[in-house]
Amino acid sequence: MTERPTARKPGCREFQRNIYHLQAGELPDEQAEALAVHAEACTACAERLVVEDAFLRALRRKLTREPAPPGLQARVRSALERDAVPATIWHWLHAPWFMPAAAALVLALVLIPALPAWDSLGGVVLVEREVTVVDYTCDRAGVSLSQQRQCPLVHHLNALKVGPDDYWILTADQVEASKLMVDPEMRGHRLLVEGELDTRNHTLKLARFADRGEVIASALPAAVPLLLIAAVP
Amino acid sequence: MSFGPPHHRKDEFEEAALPHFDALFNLALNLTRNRKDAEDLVQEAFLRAFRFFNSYRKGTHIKAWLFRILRNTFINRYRAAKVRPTEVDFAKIEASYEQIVDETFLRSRQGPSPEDVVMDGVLDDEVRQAMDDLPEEYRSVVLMALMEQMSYKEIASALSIPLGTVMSRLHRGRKMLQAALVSYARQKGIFKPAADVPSPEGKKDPK
Repeated sequence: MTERPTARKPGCREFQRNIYHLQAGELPDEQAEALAVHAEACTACAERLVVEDAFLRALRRKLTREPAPPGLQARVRSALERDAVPATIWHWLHAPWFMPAAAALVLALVLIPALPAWDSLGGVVLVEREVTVVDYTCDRAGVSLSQQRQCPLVHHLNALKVGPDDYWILTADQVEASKLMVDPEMRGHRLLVEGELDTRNHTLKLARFADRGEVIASALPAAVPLLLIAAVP
Repeated sequence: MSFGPPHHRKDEFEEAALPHFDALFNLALNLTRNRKDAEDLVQEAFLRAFRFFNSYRKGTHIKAWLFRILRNTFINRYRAAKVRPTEVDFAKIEASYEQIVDETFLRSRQGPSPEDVVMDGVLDDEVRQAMDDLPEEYRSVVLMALMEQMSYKEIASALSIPLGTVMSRLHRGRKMLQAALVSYARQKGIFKPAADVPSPEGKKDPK
């Protein structure tokens, strides 16, 4: 009875560590070549490769995609249809003057309350906090959260309310955070946010967030044609 | 109620995104482990993707972009609390896997092949269960690599993780999955000695 080959040669460890990546074709050519050479000389590693190749073949066959349930795609397409706007309205909202005007307004609103909070030592701090998404202008004016969702003024952007008269604005360059900035449906949501806060202007560079749910129930009246538009950056 | 992009963009979006519908549904199922939630998740993710379509850079991997949106939607909506990465003893997994492979496939020529185990030794439901049992971080990577056959770069993009993390999660994920499948098959008795029956696959002789 011949003794079982053991993986003890130099190079075995590297081979076994990279076997899956070799199979996936994800290793640089040089490295892949070196491992192939090793497998030719090393019985133990060659055996392992045979096993792993068999597993890969079988798993690829077994793990096939399940088709989506019938009707789901149709439902999604209707939802997209309902969401899309007629071109004329969309173009008006994205007129060249519109976004700069909205941005300028937000900037003005941010700077004014921030001035008294100027901190000469201030800079960037890491924060993790639960906040509420609000319509910045409406909230400062004392409008209730449920009414804020129905605010018809399209240039009102959202902010993260930390406490009374304490708001954080998201930096505009963050693509995935832009929904938080503009979506009226997000108003009233409690979020746990993590990121870098610039304490001088209260802008938050969002690292991640978790939606904790709504503070208020969604109570939109059924038949009100609302002109709230999500401004896509 | 708010509105999204215009109609002409909708056609463009559908053309680009709908080919990946089934793939997205499978990822949703993999994440939520629940059909109803998976359907809702897919719908919500598509709507978000549509709203964000302007931010998608043409020519880049739309599949990875869609996967990322779906996963972020899952995290925001269905994963309630901040989930700590699962505490897994890696050394134990590796050692256990080595032993299983050695005992099951290498020690004896009469034993089953990995194909016997995966194709005949376990039912489709058991494979799904073994996948579902994987910690979430490994599950997504294994699904994207094996079922969707995405490149490591695409997986890294879809999950917003470094390439090195994709590699280590795939490595460990596959080992955990394969070990689980072997142990299911063993429980069901695929390893009963069948000395008179020639192996169906004609196993390669490593010597």
